[in-house]
Amino acid sequence: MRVPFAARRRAQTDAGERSADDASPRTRAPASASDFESRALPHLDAAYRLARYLLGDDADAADAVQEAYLRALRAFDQLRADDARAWLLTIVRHTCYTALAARRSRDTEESFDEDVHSSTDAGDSPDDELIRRATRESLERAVAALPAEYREAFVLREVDGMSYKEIATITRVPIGTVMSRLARARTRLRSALTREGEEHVR
Amino acid sequence: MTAPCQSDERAMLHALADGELSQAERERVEAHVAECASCRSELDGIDALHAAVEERLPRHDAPAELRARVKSMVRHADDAPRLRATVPRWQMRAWRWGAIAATALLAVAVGHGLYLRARLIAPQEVALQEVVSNHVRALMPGHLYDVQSTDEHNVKPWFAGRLDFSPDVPDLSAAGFPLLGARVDYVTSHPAAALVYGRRHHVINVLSWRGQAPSGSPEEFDRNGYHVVRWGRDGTVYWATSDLAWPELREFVRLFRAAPPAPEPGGP
Repeated sequence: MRVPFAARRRAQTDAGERSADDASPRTRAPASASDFESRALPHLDAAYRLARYLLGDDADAADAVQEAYLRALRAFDQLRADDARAWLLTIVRHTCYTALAARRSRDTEESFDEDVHSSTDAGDSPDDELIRRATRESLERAVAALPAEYREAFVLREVDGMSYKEIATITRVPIGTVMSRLARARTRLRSALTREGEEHVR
Repeated sequence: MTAPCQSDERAMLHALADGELSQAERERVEAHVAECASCRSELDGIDALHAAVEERLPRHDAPAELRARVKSMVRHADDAPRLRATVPRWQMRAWRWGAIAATALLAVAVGHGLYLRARLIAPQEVALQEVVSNHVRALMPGHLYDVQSTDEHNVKPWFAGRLDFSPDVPDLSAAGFPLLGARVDYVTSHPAAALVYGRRHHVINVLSWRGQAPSGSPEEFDRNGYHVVRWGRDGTVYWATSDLAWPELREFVRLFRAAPPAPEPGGP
């Protein structure tokens, strides 16, 4: 049981080093589009993934990412030696939430409330075997069903391997909130995947 | 099932699994886990989920098309200031020569048409670059339109007070190209009308200004990943720019040109 954690800790250190690398200050001034390209383009996958999981739609995600990169390009001189990935993803996330707000005003979707959502965490007792065998479709469905605030923390952590600190920067909440959101996201996912797995077995 | 652990350490299990604890914290939580079956099973569950997610949750990497578009956008941004700096000079030279040539040509009263054509061909590439730059700039937040309207009857009078010509503003919403809004721009030293049409998630910018364009079939261009179509009508040049696929953009242009000119709202 210890081994996977150790492995994941290693993975995270690698991720940390990666972001430290691309955060290294460029000595060449002033900031130009080619600087932007070399620092921002490598994070396009993470940017699109975040947008895709927040918006749930390929075309919307592509539009949001393109818009976010335009904003980032215009504000590029504001980025100093900081972590380009967190800076960029903050802009992507903001663009996505603007799009979500526009959608909500049309669809009157339920808005997020930390307490309301956390009170519904208790579900079926999870079955790890069913979870391990969860299909691609059921995984995607379960992640899509999470509140956006849990979903983004989960994807940034589990797929992009980001640290709590980086996730906290991007999602603008304290590190403790990142931890509790991840805990709730995982609890919900395990319940949902167990439920689906049981239905599948029946 | 084991009763859930009530210890404070339980909250730290995710931080432990994610490698977010300091050495001292980790030792403390691991010591608790060794004693607590409930927390052990919670950790196993986090692991099971992680294994499934790592193996089968779709990663949704950026599509190649988006990558190309963003790249072109970034590279194009480098050109924009240079273009802005050179175009006025270009235009001024064209104007100066144009004034001399016009005087001479008017004096002998020949070749007037030839002069017009010569003036049109040379700046075409400049105009094309500016049209694409304009499109890219317009896509920046807050730049798309000055007036947001889906009604061509609002947009046309809005232009009337701002421009010395009246562009076509066809209603193409029935064909799936709703009007989103309009703005006034300045392109290659021309005050220009900009119409913004939508198609699903795409935007079509239609710039128009007074000038001559070949009245034949529309001309098509590819620049920086965008598709551009130019045509002329009634002494007005139209440029449609979009990232739409060619068949849809052609259809849009066909419908735009086929629409009957709207009656002048209270105009001359």
